[in-house]
Amino acid sequence: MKILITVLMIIFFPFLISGMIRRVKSVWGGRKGPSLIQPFFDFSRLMKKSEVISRTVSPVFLIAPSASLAATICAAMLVPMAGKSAILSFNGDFIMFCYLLALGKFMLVVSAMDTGSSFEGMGSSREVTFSALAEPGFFIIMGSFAWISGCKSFESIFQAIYNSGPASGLLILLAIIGLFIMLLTEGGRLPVDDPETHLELTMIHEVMVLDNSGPDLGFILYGAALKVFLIASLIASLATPTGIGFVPGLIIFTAVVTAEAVFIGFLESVMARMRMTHIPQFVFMITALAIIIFFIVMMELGKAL
Amino acid sequence: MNFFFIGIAIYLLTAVLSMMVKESRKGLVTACGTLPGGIAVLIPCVKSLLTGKAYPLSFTANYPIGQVHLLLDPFAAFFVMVIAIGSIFCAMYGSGYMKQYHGKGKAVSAHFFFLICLFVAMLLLPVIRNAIVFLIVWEIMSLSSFFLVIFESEKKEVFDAGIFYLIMMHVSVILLMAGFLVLIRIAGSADFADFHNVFQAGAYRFTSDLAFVLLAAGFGIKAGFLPLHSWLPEAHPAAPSHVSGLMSGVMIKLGIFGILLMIMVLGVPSLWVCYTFTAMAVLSALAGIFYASAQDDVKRALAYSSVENIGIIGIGIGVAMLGMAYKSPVTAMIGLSGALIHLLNHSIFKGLLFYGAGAVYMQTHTRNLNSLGGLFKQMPKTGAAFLIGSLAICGLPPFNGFIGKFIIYYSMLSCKGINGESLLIAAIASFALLAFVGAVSVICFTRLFSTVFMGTSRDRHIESAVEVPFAMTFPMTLMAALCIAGGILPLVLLRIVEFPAAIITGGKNVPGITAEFHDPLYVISMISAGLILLTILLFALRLKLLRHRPASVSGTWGCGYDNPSSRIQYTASSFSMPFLDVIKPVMQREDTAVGVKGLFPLKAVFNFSVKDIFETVIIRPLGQGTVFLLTKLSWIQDGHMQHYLFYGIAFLILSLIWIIFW
Repeated sequence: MKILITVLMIIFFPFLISGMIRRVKSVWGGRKGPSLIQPFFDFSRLMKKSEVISRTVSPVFLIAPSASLAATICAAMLVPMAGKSAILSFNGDFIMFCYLLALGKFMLVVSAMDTGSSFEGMGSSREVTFSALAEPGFFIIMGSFAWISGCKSFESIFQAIYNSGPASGLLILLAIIGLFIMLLTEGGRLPVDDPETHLELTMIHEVMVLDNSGPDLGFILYGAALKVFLIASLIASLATPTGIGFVPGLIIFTAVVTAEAVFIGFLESVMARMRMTHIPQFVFMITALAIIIFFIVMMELGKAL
Repeated sequence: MNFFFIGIAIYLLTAVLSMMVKESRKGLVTACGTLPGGIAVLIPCVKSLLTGKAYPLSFTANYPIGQVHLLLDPFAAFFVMVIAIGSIFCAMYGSGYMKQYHGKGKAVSAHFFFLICLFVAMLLLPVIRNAIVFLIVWEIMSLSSFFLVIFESEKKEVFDAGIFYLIMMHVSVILLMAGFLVLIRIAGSADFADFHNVFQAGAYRFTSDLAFVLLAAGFGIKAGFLPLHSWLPEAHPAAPSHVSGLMSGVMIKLGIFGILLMIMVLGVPSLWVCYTFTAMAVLSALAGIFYASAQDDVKRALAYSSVENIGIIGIGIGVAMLGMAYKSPVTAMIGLSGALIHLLNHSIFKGLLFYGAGAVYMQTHTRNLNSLGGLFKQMPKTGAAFLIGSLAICGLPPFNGFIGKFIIYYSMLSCKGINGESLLIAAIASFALLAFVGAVSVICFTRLFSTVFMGTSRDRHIESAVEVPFAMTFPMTLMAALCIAGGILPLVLLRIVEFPAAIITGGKNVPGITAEFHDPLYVISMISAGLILLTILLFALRLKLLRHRPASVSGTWGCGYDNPSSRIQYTASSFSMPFLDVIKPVMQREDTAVGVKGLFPLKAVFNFSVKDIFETVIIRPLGQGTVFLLTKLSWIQDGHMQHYLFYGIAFLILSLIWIIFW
């Protein structure tokens, strides 16, 4: 039952999140906005279309979207969702989570370079650079949490972090901020990347998929939305208190994910994209927060010794 | 042990045979001889790795060597296995690669002879347990690889690179000799078992630390640790590709072998040595991948990436050393298993990548990333193999590279519970930096793969390139298959390294310790298999959806510009530019830009080059200093035979006095 609900969430929540973000932006801008499940209609419309393929591409371009989506779906199985339970959980799963997302990124970057377009090359190069800068921060956060809780998997770390001493509330807060910046970076949202810009030069994520169409584009859009949902659910299950049962957990989880979507929509309504040269500093904030978390963990562990 | 020597005999026989047949057959003979030889050598290795048995052999040689012990225990067997597998692939690929040099008056015969010499020397090294014989075989290995590097010695840059390599190897040998002399002086014998008996108890702390530092520096030059790595990016591009694949995939691993051997023989050194070693390993990984992502030469980039991977292996060893020093056998065992698995995997995917780069070079005669491009359509097999190699070296699942990195990460997580804040700081720092290195290697290898194989060709000369012959695609396909197999069957990899790791850490009941992460590896293998299956399913779904809808073909979207040329593609330099800008403070980068000026601009030029800071700061000044000192002493070598005879007699008389009065 739990697994069924998780699978349903993995299938539908990504669409809902994109729908909610869009709706918030419309309402903020004084428009009525599309339906919440409009992204799902977009997806099914793309599935029914035929493709336009550039004449420069090789077979890699055709396989990459499928491989990338497959990697993201596998990563989804490792993320704890409602009630802090994931479909699969094992010691060190957060390492595999990161590397599966990287695999998805690798395939998309390579396929973007296959079109021979200078814009797509530009997007690819920015995408790999910015996400590389996000990586060490995430690992410091997870490593510190693993030490203070004595556990090694997402599920057990998130369970145990609540009872890890007086500073646990502060640790969780800092980690949530760090993960949220990672969500903006990896998910290609403002202020790192503007998903609705009209100039190819200023895009990161969107420009990489200019030449994809039909089902391939559908796969990519769903994969990107799924990635946003995955990091959002990391935050949500970190924010859920431990030991409150599955149904209250589900409610809190849904509420937090909704709140995040609304917050992203709010951010995108009031902020502009940063200058490209300033983004690395913004992304490095994750590492800075992570180092503070590590110092707190060190002090806690030092007391225990 | 019998099969081992039968295998060595087959190798030697092949060397003789290959010199007697005509030029066009030499490659074939070498490949056909290496295959049975390699398999014969592998038989006792596999047996030893699976059962943990050791096969000793000893004989007495003449003075001054004395009693020589050979031992094929799981530790030696592991390295022999890596070398034997590497040699089989190398000979196969080399037989195809060398075809381009036939009938051009090249020293093909000598090349294959030295290639087999190198195989044999490397195969013998792990089983030798005597310092003097070890040094002799080590020197044979260095010299034969030197002759392989300078195969195209009529090119000045190749010859220079070869000489640089030769000098670095001899600096390494001097350090090794010094280290071994210290040990021999105290132990009174050149046998590793005697070293072990004398030093294991923890006596002679200072001497054993000194010897460890000297030997680790010597072996570190071979392995390519920072700051002694600078021969790799010189020698690898200069050598023929199958040789660079062998050197980078297999030979530098013998440097790692030497360091592990010293840990095994001398016991774990003092804490400060352990920490320094780990720091050097982390720095090697970082600097290696930074420089790799700035290179425009495919093989130079791959050589720097070897520095990175040696660093990653070194991090695993460093964690293991710290685990041993803090008396935590679990951490030591996990760290070492990770290091050994990554070593085995690296020997496969780095060989594969060099062979892929060699295939590209053979067809296009260039290694410059900025003139390659679009080769996937012309060389699909090479391209697919290179893609798999790139994915594997970035440590992405479902390929073998992920397994080694995962276990090394895991070893750092298991440091908890060990008393010591400094260890925690070291562990979190290497944890995060290893993650960063992994992410940067994604930059480096998306850049390498896509500028060589994706898009369209940036130079008209390479449009005529076609797929390389079967003798070259076959080993690449096999290696790619091994990369996937290793990712799906991680427990097999773990089984292979369990006994060697236990021997080095001195742990007793072996499989018990690694049982802790049998479960994670089991789940990983399921996810990896599931990932491949899911990719196939999604691709099938896509094909089914598009079955009755023919795709329309058009040009790439150029934002309204509909007459693009292949020159407007993103180049390798521009691809890594955003990242290089971020790390600019730690890189020595020289930009030269001639911008657009005036109303009718003529030509704009932008160039940048990245200098290896360790070469300009450490290696060059050392070289210049040596030259300066030696010119001061050049009066000794004045060209008079009488003087030289006098030096000899003076030396003999002095040694006589020394022997009498000491």
